[in-house]
Amino acid sequence: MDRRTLLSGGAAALIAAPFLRHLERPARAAPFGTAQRLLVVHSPNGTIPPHWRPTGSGASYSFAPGSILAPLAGLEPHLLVLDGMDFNTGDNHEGGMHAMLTAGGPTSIDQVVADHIGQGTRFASLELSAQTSAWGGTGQTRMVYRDGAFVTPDDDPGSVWRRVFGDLGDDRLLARRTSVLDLASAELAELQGRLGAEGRAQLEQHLESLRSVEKSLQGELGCVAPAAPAPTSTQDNARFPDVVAAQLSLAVEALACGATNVVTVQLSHTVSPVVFTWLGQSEGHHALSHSDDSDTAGVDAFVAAEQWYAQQFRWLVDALLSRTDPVTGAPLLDGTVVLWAKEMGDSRDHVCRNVPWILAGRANGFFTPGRLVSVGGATHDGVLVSVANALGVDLEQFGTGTAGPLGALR
Amino acid sequence: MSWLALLVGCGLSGLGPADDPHTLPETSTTATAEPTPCQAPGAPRLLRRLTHEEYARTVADLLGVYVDPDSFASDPVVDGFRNDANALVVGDLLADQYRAEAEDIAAQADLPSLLACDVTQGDAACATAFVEDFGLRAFRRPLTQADVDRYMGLWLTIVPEDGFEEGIRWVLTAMLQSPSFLYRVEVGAGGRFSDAELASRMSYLLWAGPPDDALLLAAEAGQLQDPDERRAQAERMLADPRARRGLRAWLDDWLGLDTVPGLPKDPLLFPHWVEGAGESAREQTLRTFEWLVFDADGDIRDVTTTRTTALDRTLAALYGVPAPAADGFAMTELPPGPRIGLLGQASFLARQAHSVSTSVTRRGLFVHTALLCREIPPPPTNVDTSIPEPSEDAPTMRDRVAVHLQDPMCASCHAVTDPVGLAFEQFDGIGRYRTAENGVTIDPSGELDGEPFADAAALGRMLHDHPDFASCLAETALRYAQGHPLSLDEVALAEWHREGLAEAGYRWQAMLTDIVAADGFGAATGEGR
Repeated sequence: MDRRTLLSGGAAALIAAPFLRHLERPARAAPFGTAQRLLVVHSPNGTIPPHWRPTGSGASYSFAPGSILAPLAGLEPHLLVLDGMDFNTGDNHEGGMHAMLTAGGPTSIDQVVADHIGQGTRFASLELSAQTSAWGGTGQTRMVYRDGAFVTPDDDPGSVWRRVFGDLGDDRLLARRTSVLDLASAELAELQGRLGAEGRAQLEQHLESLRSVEKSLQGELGCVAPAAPAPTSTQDNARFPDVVAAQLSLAVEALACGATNVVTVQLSHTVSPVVFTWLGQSEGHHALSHSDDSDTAGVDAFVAAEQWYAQQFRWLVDALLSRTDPVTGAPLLDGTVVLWAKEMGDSRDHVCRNVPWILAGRANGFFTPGRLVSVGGATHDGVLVSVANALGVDLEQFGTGTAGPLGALR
Repeated sequence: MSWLALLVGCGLSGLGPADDPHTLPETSTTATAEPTPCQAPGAPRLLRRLTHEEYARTVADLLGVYVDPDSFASDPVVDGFRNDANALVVGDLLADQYRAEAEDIAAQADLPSLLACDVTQGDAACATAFVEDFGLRAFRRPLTQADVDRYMGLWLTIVPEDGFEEGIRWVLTAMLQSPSFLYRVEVGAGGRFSDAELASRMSYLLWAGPPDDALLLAAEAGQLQDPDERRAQAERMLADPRARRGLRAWLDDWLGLDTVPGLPKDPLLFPHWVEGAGESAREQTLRTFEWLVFDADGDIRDVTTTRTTALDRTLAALYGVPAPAADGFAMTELPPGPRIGLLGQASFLARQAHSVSTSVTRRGLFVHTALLCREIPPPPTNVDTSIPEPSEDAPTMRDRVAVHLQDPMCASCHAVTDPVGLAFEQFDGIGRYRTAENGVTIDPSGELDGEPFADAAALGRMLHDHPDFASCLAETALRYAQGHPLSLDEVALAEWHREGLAEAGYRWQAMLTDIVAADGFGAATGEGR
């Protein structure tokens, strides 16, 4: 068996004739006035609020030249910029990273949403990332959680491409793989019966993962597969921009293709050591994030690094604006809730107050973007409730928080 | 735990015996004094998924196929250890990676070497023999009839369509996704681990890989329940080159060496941190230990004082000494000076530093936590952890970290870490020797547990004979062997092993043999966490 031969046979034929299948894909009926897709992107190490905050207020706001968000100029009508939002729980780097999408609960909002809207797609959700692995996994390095355990994201664009676009085979290959997965499932079930409490949770999760794999191998690619990303050293600091670009591109392609409706992209991790060498910098992002106001060189470098992240977010929003929803014909952004989440507010204080989040997209009318929204102390659990509601998920509170949805976003 | 509780644990009054985590609470049933092997606690019953490194080495030993362990989704790291059983699960991503990897490996496997028949003339008997023989190695236990039936069932569905060879490749693909391959099942029966389970407990501890045929045969013969047989097997296994692999795996976790190759360093400030310097630094530490443990079979504590080490050209340039070989590594003696032992090596000095500077705190913290197994809490929230930039009044790092001692809250821990970390200020952020900083002569003196020392070399000699260092060596070895955070009973067991280590002249091979031969190693009675 040669997988390359198989690819050039069955799978390649599938990739070569995508359009009919594409049109045949049944449209998922979205509740009126809600979005069908969720895309969360995270960049680390908080911000320096005076350099971040847009000027103006409400619908009359803009991004000052030289500020962190200056690269977003022109996108104002599509964004909801949240000013003054606090986390309901969590503090400092690690606490903030953990609370960011969980609000203190065991499961992050993307997984809650995926449980509701991810069942009709090959992947209930996809977790993409750039250079989150160098320190191994700790609470400090992860943002997606299920039942208290973090979900390891995929640092390798090549691996993401393979899973989403490269590994669908013909019927015979699918039958073989299914037989193997079924065999492993039977063994896991037998082992479970033989063991006591030991390992029960591990085996249960393993069984569930095999079911997910089986589902991801079935069905059809609903689009023309994009070119595979060029192989790159995924943990090499100098390659960080390449990895980020590839992952953001794959996130858009996976959503556009209907392979999944929920994507998270984690760019590095809190206490990120990434050195923005491509901007001529030599100090790590985390060290720069602690530059106090008297250290103007440090602050300038941090602002430049944050502008680079803003450029990446800009690329993402532009891409979703330029792509068309295969069902509605509208821009992909219209039916997508995009959240740029951070884990802290002012990085010099290590606090999770005044945390700078930005939403993009109108969620088919659920949100009213185009505003700088001063939320004055509202907590982020409420924002996460709103995000879930915008995706048609009936949720009143989230995590350990008690806030309801944030009305100011509607 | 609240910050206040941690603060008390850290000890404003320093780390006296009362605060020492090594001191066992009185409630512990096993006292530090002479617990006998038969009193030793057993290991908890665990399902231990192979680490990615173990997976790669297992596949290499079984099939001679190379797998990049870094191509798998990264796992949680618990206390620096990547083999923590409770943290190693199979999520969606990893399950798919296992699937794809198994297909790749099966495509590359050299079937003629695995089969007793000609691939072109294979029959059901030959397939059954393959299932039983390869299955024994892959599952590290004899297959049950149910196992054989299951895999032969898979083979039979494929043969009519794709023939004998494809059938075998899919059986191989399936075995590599089997829980019997992916997990070390250590659950025992009647309070004892089975012989097959013991074989894996031994091989993954000593070799970081699967049992060989001799060990599987000993297991099949029921010999491994006998501590003397285990001792004999351990001695045999430690004489095998694979034991160096096992030592390396433990060191990678204990000392965090796997992170050294990826350390970001400012190329303008540190031109000697050339491409590959991190990998060389890791290799130096591994080779120094290998030499000490296997070639010299000496006192492992000498690693803190020895001038004998392995260098390549990159490190020789970094250290400013002659390269002992034109290509690759060679053993050499470092010249007299403050650079001695593990704490004079770049793997420590560069790792416990920032990308643009040294870190007094991180270096001191490493000595206390990694080498003396002490717990020191992280800084509280809402604290500015930056230190002042160098100035005329405060030109050296010693002057600049003095701010740590002004605030009593900071001082509670920094008074413990910083006087140790200051010993290494004669080595810059990548470990290059220097005598002055900003034109001012560096003072490398400091103190550990109230005992003053003159410089890094003196600190190394102090550590060599520090009782907590020997205890910590035993604890980290047992932590690695057990695959979970040690219970108080297991800490007592580690202490018992430390005494054995001392009696054996601190020879590490004796320590590993003792772990394997201890009665508790075969007892599946402990409680998992």
